[in-house]
Amino acid sequence: MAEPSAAGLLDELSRLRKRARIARRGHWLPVVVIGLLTLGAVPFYRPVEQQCPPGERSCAVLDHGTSFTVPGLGRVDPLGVFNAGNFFQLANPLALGAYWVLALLTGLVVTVWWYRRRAEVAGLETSTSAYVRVTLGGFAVVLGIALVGGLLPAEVRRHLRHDIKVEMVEAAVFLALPVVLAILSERDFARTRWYRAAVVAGFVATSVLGAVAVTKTGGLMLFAAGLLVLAWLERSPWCALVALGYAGFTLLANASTMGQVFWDLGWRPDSRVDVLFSAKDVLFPGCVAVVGGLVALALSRVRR
Amino acid sequence: MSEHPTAALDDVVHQRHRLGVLTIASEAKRVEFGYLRTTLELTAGNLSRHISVLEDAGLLEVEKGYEGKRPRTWVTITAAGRKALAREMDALRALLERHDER
Repeated sequence: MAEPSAAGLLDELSRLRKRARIARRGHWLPVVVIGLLTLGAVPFYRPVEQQCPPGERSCAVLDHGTSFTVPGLGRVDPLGVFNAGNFFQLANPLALGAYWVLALLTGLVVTVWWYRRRAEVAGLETSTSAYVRVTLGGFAVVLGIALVGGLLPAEVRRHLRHDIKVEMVEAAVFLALPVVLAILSERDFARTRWYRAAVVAGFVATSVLGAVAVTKTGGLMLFAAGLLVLAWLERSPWCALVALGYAGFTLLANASTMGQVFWDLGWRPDSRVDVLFSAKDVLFPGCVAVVGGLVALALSRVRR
Repeated sequence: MSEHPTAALDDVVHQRHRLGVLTIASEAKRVEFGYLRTTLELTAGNLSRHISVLEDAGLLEVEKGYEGKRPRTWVTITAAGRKALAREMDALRALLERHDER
């Protein structure tokens, strides 16, 4: 008599679990906001206007980078992962770096606020601590990259970036490490000495990998990590798909292949005058997040 | 001879509604009393009694507060609660496997 009721009980609990997951789901807003903040970076990618002597098509312009010299460390650029490495020189790299910092903080505040507000309405609260950890940890890694970047010899960096496939793998590991550590931080395992050691090792590894493999896409990487953690927190296959799409385009952008992608698609403007094309790296991730978030909203309405 | 899976069932957790409370609570950081009452289709008094049993066993933590003038009760599953739920689910699955083998 007990056995058949065990099957019934397991079915009932499975239904309750599924219902609770759907009821607490609210990722559509953070995903749309992340998409809009990503697309909001477009104007900041405006290339510097070259004023070449008559008859010359291109010429050298003054470097407007955001690095500065620190005694003993060499050139340090805390905003370098957000603004360095673009094909055409930016008109205002400081504005782009500052925008990404503000955008990431805005995304964090909106996400935490939204899930608290949603808890009052739905009666179920989703924990955002892993999302907070991955974003704030990401800022720490950005500083780590700036310090490591100053110390890492250019030759070592060149050696580690000799192949585009290796570079893609390095960037993918850079993205995956903090996500895995943030997810594990929600488990009992997080209270062990092993976890603390893994966090320190992860911080060092991501800082070195970031200094080697991440150029210009620091903001996209941190948003991608946040989206992947959000998908796990919500146990949402759709959110996971959107996060993977965002992360995939981020990795392509980091390997500087988006220009080729758009070229193959037939969009071939001169990025020295076309702001939208010079911001090509953020277009696909931003659109994926905005569309993905709106679809998630539509799906949530249909399920109610 | 191995022990029968029913020996692993915990009397505090095994009760259908208490298992429901723990299952829902394990899916969120915290759950509001009203959500549990509606979802499990229980009266307020009945649900309160189940929650008290689980709270006394250290499987749940209860937080009472106000949203404006409206009183609200939030329930959070403890680490012991998660372990107890996992053990119970394992025992139920073992019971089912034993039934299927016959």
